[in-house]
Amino acid sequence: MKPVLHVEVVQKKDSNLLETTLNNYVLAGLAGRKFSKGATFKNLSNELLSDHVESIHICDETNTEAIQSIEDYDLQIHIFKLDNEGVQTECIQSGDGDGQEVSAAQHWLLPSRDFHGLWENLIYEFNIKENLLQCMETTLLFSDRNVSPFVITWNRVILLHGPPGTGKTSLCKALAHKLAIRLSKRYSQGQLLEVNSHSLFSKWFSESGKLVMRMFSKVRELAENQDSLVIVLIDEVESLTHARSSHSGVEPSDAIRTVNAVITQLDNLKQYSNVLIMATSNVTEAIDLAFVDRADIKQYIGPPPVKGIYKILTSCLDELKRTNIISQSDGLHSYDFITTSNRTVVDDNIADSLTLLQISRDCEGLNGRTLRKLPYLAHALFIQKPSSSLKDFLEALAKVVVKHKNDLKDMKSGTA
Amino acid sequence: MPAPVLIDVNLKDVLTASMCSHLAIEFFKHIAYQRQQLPFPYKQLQSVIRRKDTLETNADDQPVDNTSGRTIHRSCQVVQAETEFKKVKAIMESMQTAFQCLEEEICNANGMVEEVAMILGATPLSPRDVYRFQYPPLLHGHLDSKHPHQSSLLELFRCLISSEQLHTFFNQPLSPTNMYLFLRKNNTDLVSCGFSPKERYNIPMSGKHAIIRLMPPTSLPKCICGGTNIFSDKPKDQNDSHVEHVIESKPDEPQGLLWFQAHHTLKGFKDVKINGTSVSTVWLQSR
Repeated sequence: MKPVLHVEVVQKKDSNLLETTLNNYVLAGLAGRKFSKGATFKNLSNELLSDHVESIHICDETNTEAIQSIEDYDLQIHIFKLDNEGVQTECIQSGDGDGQEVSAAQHWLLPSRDFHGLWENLIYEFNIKENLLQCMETTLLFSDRNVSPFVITWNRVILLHGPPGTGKTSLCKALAHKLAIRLSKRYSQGQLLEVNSHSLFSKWFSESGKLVMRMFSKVRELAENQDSLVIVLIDEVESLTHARSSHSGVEPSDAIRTVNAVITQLDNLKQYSNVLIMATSNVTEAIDLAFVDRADIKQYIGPPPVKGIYKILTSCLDELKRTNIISQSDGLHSYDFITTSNRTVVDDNIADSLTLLQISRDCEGLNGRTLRKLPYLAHALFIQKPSSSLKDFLEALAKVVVKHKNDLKDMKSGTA
Repeated sequence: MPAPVLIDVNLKDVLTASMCSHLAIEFFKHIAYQRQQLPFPYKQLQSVIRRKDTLETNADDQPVDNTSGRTIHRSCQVVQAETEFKKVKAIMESMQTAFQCLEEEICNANGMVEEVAMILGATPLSPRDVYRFQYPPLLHGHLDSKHPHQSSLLELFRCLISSEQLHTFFNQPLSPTNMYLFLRKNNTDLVSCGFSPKERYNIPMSGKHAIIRLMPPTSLPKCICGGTNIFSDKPKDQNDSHVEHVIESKPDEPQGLLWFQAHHTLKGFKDVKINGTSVSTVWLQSR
């Protein structure tokens, strides 16, 4: 059996070509060419393609081996246009009786330009990303084929939890974007709805539950269209599903009603096979057990390991090279190469890679958000000129890591 | 889902392509105002912007009076009004371009455009209101100059205003949202400047729907422009327009018809009040 190779083709916004025609153009363009996995082509030389295609991306996260011929693979070509409109606000009636509306959710049409390239830049260990994507694909396949939910139970709910800054929300958005691309043959359009939990609480007693109901009826309305994939993201889910057992006497029972409304509405959504619920949380203990139980996948997202840190920092340095903030030099070696190969001669390139490896080890325990901030801080605090060499930048990066750790220590001693 | 509101407009004159676009654009302008996406009627807003622009150019031509320091110390309200003006002007310009594109598209399509639609809502997949405007097959060879639009426009607005059902739409408040323009035509001609094809798109059934159908005159009036009585080629049978067929939007779309979405999305906006005065009044006050 040939291995599957996903090829993502971004069609230009004003291109009027139909999908089937473009599919043939892409196939013809790829035939007979050699390229490596994970490659992205932006400026296409092929005249037919350059008029209609923005970029072609060969997907494979795990390795970057060269592809000799596309004949050896089962090609899955996904052609899509990116939505440029960005986020829109979905409003529902506030129920105050004055005809006012409250914004209930942020709405994106997928695939959206806002999330393009996000997936490739999220780095986790043990193939968490790929596994989640496959789980989601299976979920939708089961639903689509009408597998009896009484025999095999699944709720189409995933819960990502872990410390702040590890990219849970970004992962959900990237996952939604990716699903919309991968399933574009089945679903003509994907939609991501990010629930504004805070606006679902009304000033009137007992109204919050009704607002939640109205919000979910909006989701149902969108899900009525069987050709559309609806992904609901509930960020910081503990605010909507706070553990009912922990409600104290002074807490208004309205909050309890909200939790009840969410849970019953989730059950109602089960009948729509094209709806997926993604939830994220920092404090798992605070979430109501009934909600946790409904989640099919409860995935812990922790800070990245050294390999991940190395990859994140390399991607940051590559971006700075692209923008000429770091002067052009040879590319850094990959983590596997630098940790496994026997080195007899240490050239500049290997020396730089080793320094970066040491920095990555020093950074262990820091989350993705902080890691992606470090190059910015390094430039701001220790470089302060428009362009510098890679060596100088790595030195600055090492300094900034020490500084950041000291800052953290000071903060802890300050609060103690 | 409530049944869509159907409004049949029986025209007394022959429809030409330019008349088709004119009627649709005037209808959309009317809807934008009635559904609170524009704080004032379209024409009024345009004239206010034009007057403000003339005021600006006149003021620029005059020597700056430095002694009073008026140009330097502009009050907070004036700055706010200026910011608002830039925003409104950009929205109105984009709206004008979108309508121009629609006009070109209909006029160049040789009667291939079956229908145009305006969707009000956050995205084209979550409509609050849908207004569809359907055309009958056009007759060949009629000249625009010999068929003035006025009488057909009057007929259209008479029907719109006398429709009670349509007025129930306007009674419910709608906060400023997006307005998406769509047109449906044959997929054999994909070339278009301001529109791109949206494959596998159907207007969702949610929200409130209104369908305006233009009906050609039953007996053709005497025409002096030399136009024929031959209909342009259309797959749809003129008599086959019973309600079920018109409201489809289901996967069993007529073969070869495709929805095209406008590149420009129209944005609704509200009037801003500065110290209790409408910002448009502040614009026209001398600086």
